[in-house]
Amino acid sequence: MSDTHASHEWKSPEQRRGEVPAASLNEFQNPARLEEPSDSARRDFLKIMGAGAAAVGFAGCARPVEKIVPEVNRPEQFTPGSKVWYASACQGCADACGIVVKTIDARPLKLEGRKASLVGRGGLCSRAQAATYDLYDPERLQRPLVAGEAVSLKAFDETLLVELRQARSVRWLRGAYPSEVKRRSVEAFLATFQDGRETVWDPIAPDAALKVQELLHGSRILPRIRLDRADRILDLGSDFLNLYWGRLDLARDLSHRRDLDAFPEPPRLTSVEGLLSHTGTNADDRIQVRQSQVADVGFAVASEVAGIVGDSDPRIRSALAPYSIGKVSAATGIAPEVLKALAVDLAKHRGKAVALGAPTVRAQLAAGILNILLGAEGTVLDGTVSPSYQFETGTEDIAALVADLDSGKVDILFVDGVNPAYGLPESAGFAKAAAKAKLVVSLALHKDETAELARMVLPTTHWLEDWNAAEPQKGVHQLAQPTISPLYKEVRSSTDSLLAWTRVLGKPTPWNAATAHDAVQGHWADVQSGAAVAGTFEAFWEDSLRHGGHVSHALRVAREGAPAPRPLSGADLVQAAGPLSPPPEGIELAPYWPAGIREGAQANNPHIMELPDPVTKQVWGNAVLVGPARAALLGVKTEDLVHVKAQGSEFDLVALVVPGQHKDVVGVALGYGRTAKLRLLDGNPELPVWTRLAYADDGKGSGTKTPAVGVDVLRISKTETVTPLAAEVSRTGRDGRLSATQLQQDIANQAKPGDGEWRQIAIQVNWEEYEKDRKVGTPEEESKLFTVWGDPVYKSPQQWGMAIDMNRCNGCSACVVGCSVENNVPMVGFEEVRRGREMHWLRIDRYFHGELEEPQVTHQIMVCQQCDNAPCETVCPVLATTHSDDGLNQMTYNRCIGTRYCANNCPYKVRRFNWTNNWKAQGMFDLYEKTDDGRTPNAPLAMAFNPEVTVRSRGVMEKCTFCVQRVQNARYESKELGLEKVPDGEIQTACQQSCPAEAIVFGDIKDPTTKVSRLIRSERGYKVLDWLQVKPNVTYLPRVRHTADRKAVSAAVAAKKQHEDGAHEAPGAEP
Amino acid sequence: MSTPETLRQRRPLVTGGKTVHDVSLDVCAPAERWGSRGYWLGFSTSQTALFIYLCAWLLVQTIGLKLVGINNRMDWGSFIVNFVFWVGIGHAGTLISAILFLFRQNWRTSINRAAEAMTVFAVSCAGVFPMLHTGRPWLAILFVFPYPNFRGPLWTNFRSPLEWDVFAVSTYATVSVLFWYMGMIPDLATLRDRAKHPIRKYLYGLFSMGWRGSMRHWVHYETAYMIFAALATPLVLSVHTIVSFDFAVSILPGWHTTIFPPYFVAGAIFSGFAMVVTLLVPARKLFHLEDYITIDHLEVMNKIILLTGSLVGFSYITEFFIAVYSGAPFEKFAFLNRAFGPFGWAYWIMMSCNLITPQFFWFKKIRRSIPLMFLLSIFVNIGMWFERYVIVVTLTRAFVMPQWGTYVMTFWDAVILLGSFGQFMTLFLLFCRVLPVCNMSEIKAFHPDTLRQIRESHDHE
Repeated sequence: MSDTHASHEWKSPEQRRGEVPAASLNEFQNPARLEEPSDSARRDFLKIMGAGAAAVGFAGCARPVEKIVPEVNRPEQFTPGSKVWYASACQGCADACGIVVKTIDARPLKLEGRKASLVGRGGLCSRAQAATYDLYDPERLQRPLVAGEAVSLKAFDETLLVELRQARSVRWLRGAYPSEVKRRSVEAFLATFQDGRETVWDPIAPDAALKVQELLHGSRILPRIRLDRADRILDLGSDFLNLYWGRLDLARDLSHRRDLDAFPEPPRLTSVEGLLSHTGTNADDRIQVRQSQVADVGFAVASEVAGIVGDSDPRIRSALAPYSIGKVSAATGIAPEVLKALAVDLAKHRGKAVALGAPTVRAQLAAGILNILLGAEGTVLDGTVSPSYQFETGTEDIAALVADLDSGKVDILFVDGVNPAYGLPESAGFAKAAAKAKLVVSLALHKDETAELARMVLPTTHWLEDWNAAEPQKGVHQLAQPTISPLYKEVRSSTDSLLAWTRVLGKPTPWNAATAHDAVQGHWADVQSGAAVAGTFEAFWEDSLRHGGHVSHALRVAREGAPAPRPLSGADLVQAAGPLSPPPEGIELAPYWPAGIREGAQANNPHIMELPDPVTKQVWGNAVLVGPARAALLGVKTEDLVHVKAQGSEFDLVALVVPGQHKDVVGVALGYGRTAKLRLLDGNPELPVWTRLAYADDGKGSGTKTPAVGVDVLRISKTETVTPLAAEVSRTGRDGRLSATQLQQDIANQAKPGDGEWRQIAIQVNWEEYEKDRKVGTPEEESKLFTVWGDPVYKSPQQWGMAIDMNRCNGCSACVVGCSVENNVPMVGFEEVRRGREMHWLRIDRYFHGELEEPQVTHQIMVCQQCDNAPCETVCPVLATTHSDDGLNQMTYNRCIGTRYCANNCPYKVRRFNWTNNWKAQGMFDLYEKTDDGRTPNAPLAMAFNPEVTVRSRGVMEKCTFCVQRVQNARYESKELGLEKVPDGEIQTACQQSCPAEAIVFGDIKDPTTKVSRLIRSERGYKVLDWLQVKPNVTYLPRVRHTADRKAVSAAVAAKKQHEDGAHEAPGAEP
Repeated sequence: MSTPETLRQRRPLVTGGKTVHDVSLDVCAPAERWGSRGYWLGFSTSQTALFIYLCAWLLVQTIGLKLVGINNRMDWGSFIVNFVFWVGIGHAGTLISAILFLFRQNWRTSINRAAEAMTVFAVSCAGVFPMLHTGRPWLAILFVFPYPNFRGPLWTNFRSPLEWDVFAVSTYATVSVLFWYMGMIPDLATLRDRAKHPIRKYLYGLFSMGWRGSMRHWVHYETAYMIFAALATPLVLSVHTIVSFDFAVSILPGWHTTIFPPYFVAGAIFSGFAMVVTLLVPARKLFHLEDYITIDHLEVMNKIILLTGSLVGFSYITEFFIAVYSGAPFEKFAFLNRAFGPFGWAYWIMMSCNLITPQFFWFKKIRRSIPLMFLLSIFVNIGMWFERYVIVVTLTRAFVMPQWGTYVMTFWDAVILLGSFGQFMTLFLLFCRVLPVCNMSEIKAFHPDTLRQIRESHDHE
């Protein structure tokens, strides 16, 4: 230290010369050191002491030993914390929409629709949005099971091969997914057996539509529906926004046509239905009829249309003969004028009208005949150029499989990714038949109901870990690539398994592939040659990976053109249509597939379980939906427990009164009431996570808790699951419990119908009025009022705003899940939602307009309005919520003390408070929490968190931020490119991105040329509660309803009332 | 001091032929003898309630506010109701000791001590709620005070009524405590002089700050008392005004009204006097102070209850009328909803307890009937709790209908509400046993014997 001679630097000439500086100048000289008795310096002593103390402390910790191998060299193309996007295809359902997957640090975190994809076209449904929570579900099977024992993959294969070598008759049951790779892999595998057969089955598959397409046109091909070309849409109980093939495209096309700035007139959607379906809430006009009579109405309209357009095809005429308007009107109680007016209107728009039917054969046939008569074939419907390949299944097939199994001759049944033990009605007898097979092998993600039946269970990869390829529409090739390597070692994708087993059995695999990756490449080479794409395969492959698939240019052009109409085949329509049945009596129970949970596969996903139903807003279970008239007759109200008897089976379930539902129809959602031992389903107490979510109290404070999973109606349905059943419904006199995000307003609190109109919050107007005055219904501008607040001054060159077109939004709720996944919004469970503590940052408010019996529904997306004069900001005592320079109302979570005054003072009620440590209560942080047998059951859950967004703790207020992380990222990127402003469209909020209907537009409102600015200037634009002078920055465009002729409708209502008055004495009417 | 002539015609403030010496004996008695069985019963009950209260808070703070009934539709609930209720109760003491002092209302002398003690304890009960109702009290206690720091612009928000509350309530608490303590010094000295046990002697001696009762001491004392009274007087009006701003400064229909400050102050005095009656009726019995807190005292307080109750009732009607008459649809809805909506029952409890109950005090017989006034004062307490409840549950039906909700108090809400009475009663009963319940020195000053002496000395001159 004092060796100044050796130093290269010098402080002074004296030092340079080697003179020892004066002691007084050496200010850091430490005399204590000279007196140190030992060699060990004082600091060293302290260090050792400290280290020793720390070592003693650490020795007491039970922290597991982790071996971390640091990456010495950064892997190529990998920057920790940066986002990498992969183009892929969704495998959540047979629609096979194009997606892009955001990964950070090699974790897929957010799925978004791929704009360029011809299927999905940039939107994505709620189910796919929630898929990452399936991937990281801690209850995924992690090791193969043989007779309940966990074994290694190798041992599993060895055991299975013994069985395979002896097997003669093998059945392979898989879900409907239009994958050539899967199809051929199964084919090659089954070819190794004497009697191998494949069955494709999907609980929501449009089997009836396939059957009717075959009947009418001779081939089992579903047409591609180009709804943007339809001026008139007749929905015969189809709930097409929810159940049809390519439903996101239908939503997008409908919404596109409802863009009032782009088209002179919006299309008119008429719904004929008994329940108030998700599609029905979007209808311009609704005709209520028993669900079982929907087809009769369709036939009646068709017969009238046939008369008007003068169709002379004798097959159609004879099929429609029993269905004159007079007879059907007498049977259904619908005024004949209404049906006549409907038929006239449809016929007037021949070539631009389409009918979509319920998933029953007769309804589909009615729709099919109407489409022929209305000339939809070849215009709206494309059955030749690029029709849908999305489904290739049939209920007959599964019935045949069950019969096969029942005969006892099947040796091995493979169940690949579907759950027939739950998804098939009990009458189908799957469980009993499967027990007769020598061996049932389940390839499943979870230990679901079917896996519980199976002796051997092979855990499969989640589809985000898989290679696959799909052709959802003819010529539209989607390529699905893995975005993460499988989370567990002992799992394997079913395609990989198929190929491996085929090879071990010594048979050729398709494309000689050893793995799914090879097979997909092999298939892709076929695609290349089929589409005659020049260039090397590598180049084509790379290009396809980058774009998520391939569509030839020629096909793109052809898809826009007019496809050839398909001719009518010679089948017997009369038999299929059948005679007009006499008016049924009593109540009918209509099971339906709900929008969120659908067939129930994602029942272990809290984002899906807590997604409010678009119509009922119910979460965590199902209910008996009762119309107001029937509820009055039965003497039940919402939350009463009712007793339902149907098909010789009975159950008790809570009632929910839904306005606008037919008097004689009660609905129950399918997809609930699963019995698998999964934590969200029965709240398995051994598993700490989520259990608190899925439990419901008994409401009496007794402390008993029951799983809140609803009732499984499938066990009483018929094979055609949505067929209405004759049922008896009665009051039990007991109280039930249900959880919903929006009940208080219309039922529990008994708001009067007029309560909402003067509020001018969700505005809807009629097209006729709107045509005359574009500003009709919107509140007057209040900006002339005196205000103590000045105009806001923002330093930033940009200010963010949003426009929400309620005419485009259909309430599908994809944005709700998209927002929650992006922003780490916790789900809180049955009881907490029931107490009004749901955390969704974005909600969709449902408004009823008009009468209780004939309501019209408006969906209003409600996010933080980012007010310029935000009332939340002034009342916060600690400045935890403030305004940014670019006009955002921002939350500082660290600063928040949780007085909750901001939430009280928010007129839009968009603020959400963490009443407890929501994520912790769900085990989301339990990365290291081990069970007694050394597992870490909750470990992967934390991987689902978006690292770009703070995870909020207890006692903190939170709310929509306009996805500030996305705004900031876009600003950085623009800055890097040397741009002063973020270009319009560069920032998409999570809700905007996920919206299949493009109802949400976000952007800079300072720049008058942006899309959002144009919408804000729209004549019909208004701001919610503008008169409060809080200056919200979200503009709403009202719902414009293209209602039919009012006179006819009111006549119909009168007629219906009369009919009902006459029918009051009907049996079953007494409570 | 007021002229004795005006008091000649009035009924004596001390009855039962008690001498000046008896005042010391009777008032000091509770502090100098072992508590009665009734006392210990009450005290142990209160302490149990206090213990449960502390446990409930511990639990709520450990698990989170999900244990209580508030939700995202209605972010404030029983805690805020309790806060405003207790702050309101805390108004009577200061009013009696400060404002009535300035107005020379001599009857205040025998009740002012107890009323002030009640104020201090009520404010301490109230102070718990705004802190612990926050999501993160451990940060709230740090962040709400504008102490100098280096965090740049990150300071408290002086625009927030909650911040005003911090100052208003903490100032009020400080002034009340000081005023109460200062007024007690001569009496503490009396206790010191009478004490036999050395520890008692030491403690009373410590707190009586060397009071010797010299003329100089009295001059200083009276000046200081006057100054404190003058300081406390505006606080009586300002605290509840600012508490009312918690609601009035918001933009919610039903909260955003200019009538709130006067109406809150009137309500606070109303509830405070009712609570004084509720407490003193049993206390005078328990500690044998009937001759000092006479029926005349109670009657005067009942008159004030009648006055303030009528003011409050008038405010209710005015508020309702203005809302319905204004033509502002949301305002009109909020008030009609209060009366006829799902929480209409609470509104009618409030109306009947606060508007009708005090009207009984028009009758002298009822004003002077101990059991009836006790019953009616309980009704007033209930009514005033419900007044705040009615105001807070307005939140359940604000602007956006789909976010309308409901409010159901949970078990823990109830435990904490009742537990806060445990805190209050524990403190009050403790006070009764260790401190002079009545202001001995002032009672002596207005004792008939003293007055006679003064009169005689005047006559001599």
